[in-house]
Amino acid sequence: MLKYRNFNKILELATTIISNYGHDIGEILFQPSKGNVAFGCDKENWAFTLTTFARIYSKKFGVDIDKMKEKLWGDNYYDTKNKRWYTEPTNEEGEKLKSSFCAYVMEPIIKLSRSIIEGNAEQMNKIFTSIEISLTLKEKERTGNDLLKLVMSKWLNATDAFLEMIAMHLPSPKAAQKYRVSHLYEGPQDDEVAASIRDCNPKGPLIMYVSRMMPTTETGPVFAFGRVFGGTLSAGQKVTIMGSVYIHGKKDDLFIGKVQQVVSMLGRL
Amino acid sequence: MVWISIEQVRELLSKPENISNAIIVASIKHEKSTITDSLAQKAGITNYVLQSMLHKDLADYDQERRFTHKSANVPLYYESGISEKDKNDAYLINLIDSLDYVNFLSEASAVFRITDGVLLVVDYLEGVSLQTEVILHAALDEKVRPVLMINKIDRQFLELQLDAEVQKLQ
Repeated sequence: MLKYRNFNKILELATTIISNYGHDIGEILFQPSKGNVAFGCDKENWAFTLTTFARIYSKKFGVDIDKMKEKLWGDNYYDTKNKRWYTEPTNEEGEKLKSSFCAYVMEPIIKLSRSIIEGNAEQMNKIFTSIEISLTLKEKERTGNDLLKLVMSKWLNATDAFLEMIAMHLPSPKAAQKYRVSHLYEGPQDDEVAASIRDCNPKGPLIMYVSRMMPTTETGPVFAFGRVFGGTLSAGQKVTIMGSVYIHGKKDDLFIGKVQQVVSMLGRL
Repeated sequence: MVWISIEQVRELLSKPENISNAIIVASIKHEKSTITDSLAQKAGITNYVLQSMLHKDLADYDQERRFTHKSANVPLYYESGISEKDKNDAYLINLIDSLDYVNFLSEASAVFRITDGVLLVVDYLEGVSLQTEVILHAALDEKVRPVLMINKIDRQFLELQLDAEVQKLQ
């Protein structure tokens, strides 16, 4: 139970910070049963959300994924004898039950890790077949931490969990700019620039935020790295540049420039 | 490693519903770079292993030039496998890679302005540190939606030898 309580402590602290902010951002509370909290280890390259485990169990038992997700967190206890769910840690006969998060999520991971570290080959192979992992002959020669890292990253790959979490639970620009426009744009909220940001409209007036300038060589060009909030940026376009001390409606720190080239970053500076 | 062409990136870019702009924030610099590297290695469009070597050179170069190179963009490709009727199941995730955590606070608002979401990494044993708290505040001020990752949960059962259920301490 200690583990579960410690997780809850972290979640509670984060939640108190978040709950001070308005609800216009949408669903921002950390709720493991929704799938926006991942658990894992970066060094060994494994991580999972409750969606990962709900998917495994829903396939195994033929239950709905969303129902399974709800059951895997919080005060939910499954009695394997009576085959029913309880919200109390004891069943009618007074037997103590393990919470579903501990029994169905943490315990398999702990069992697998321990059997690999201790070198218990029999138990190891039993778990490998149940989680459908097959190793090549060369991989079987590995032991200890090396093997643990390999098996865990095959079973609960961190990348898959992260990408799924980011794609599913973080907003798309189209969704996010709807509520961010009042924060991003100082001018009147009903003009065409605000509308361009709000709808993320590629045909509207161009508006771009430059987060940093990146010089290349001593005399070479300077790249402006930023994000286009509305409109389309193209080479040769004339743009108005607002400096850092520009105040809406005044003419200080205001320049007119020309876009020489548009480049897209593909993983390097 | 996913190799997709510039044309495919361009096609994905024209569908704003399937784009996510995200940033990773961790309390230790090392944590973040392992996560970024593992993400970029699997789903990055270009070869990030080579790039991270380039990154190192660049960091030296930056120091020479007395400016620090703090954020760059790594596009990641993700297929959800769940295809709905009107939604394409291919996603483009723009991972904004901010380099240094300590120097990060000063740039926080500028970086958060170009993202829509943040992946917050919290150490399981240490809990939410003050720095993380400040960063979370900065993100929420910019109306950036967070998701959480609780890291190093293996230390619990490998180092401390605790079971999933320890009814009571003592």
